[in-house]
Amino acid sequence: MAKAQQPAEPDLGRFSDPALVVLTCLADGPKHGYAILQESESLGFPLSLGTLYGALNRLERLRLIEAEASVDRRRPYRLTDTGVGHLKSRLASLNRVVRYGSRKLEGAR
Amino acid sequence: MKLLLRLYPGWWRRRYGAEALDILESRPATPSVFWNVVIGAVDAWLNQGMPPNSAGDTNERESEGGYLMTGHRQRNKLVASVLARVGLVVMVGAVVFVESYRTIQGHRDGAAGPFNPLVVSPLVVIAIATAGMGLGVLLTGRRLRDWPRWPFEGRALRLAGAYCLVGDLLVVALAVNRLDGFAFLLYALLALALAATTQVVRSRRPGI
Repeated sequence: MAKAQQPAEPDLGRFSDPALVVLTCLADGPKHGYAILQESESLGFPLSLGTLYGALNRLERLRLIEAEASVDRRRPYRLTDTGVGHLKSRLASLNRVVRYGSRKLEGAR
Repeated sequence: MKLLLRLYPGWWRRRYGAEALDILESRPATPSVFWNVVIGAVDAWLNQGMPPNSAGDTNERESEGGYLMTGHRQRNKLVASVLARVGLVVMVGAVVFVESYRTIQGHRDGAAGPFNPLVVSPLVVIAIATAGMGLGVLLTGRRLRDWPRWPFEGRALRLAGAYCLVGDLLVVALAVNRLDGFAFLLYALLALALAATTQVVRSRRPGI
């Protein structure tokens, strides 16, 4: 019997974590690269310039985010519907890991 | 900082350059920033590409064209692959030639030593292998349907293939006649020709 087809998760390779940080930063509205960089620092996961634009490029090509028109040499990016879905799914799976790990730690004590 | 961004592909600079420069200029220039920008440039050349159409830069993308973007990425990968192969072949070749040189010239006393078949044989193996690959390039290159694709590519490939075929014989001849410097130079050119031709042929017909 054939397995049910599941939507394939986009392959972000080693950019998976920076991509999650970028998506999280964009969750509350469009931001340009500089704002994402600053928010990632305040989040505690500072992105470097090469990593930021590498992640932006991959996310854009996967259509998880899209660029808006440039304003004063800065280009804002916003989440697409696919991007919102992807972020929700990533956060949900991370939540499961956090809850499972916490339960195990509690049980070990 | 602007010079540093010149390391990135043109499409990348047009797309992200102005904002990236703003960010770079607003932060202290440390070695780690420099290193990160360089690594980012390598990643941009090898793994990134122009994103699909969205608001903001339609004209820029249309003028570039999807085909050209794909072509750029293929060419960049090809160049990187060729350079990596040349580096590897030249390094292996250097060891072989140093050992051959020692054997041919004598080890310590300066007197010509006897040929050591165990040391010289890798040279012969490489010679035979490159000759075989050169022949392969010539034969497979002729069968490619859309070949040549670039101007003079066909002629360049034939020349490189022929050079692979006969060049290594010259290398061996020079090495045996104690002209190791010339032999190694020729060998490096041979490695370049070989790596380029095999890569170009492979890129035209994946699976070869």
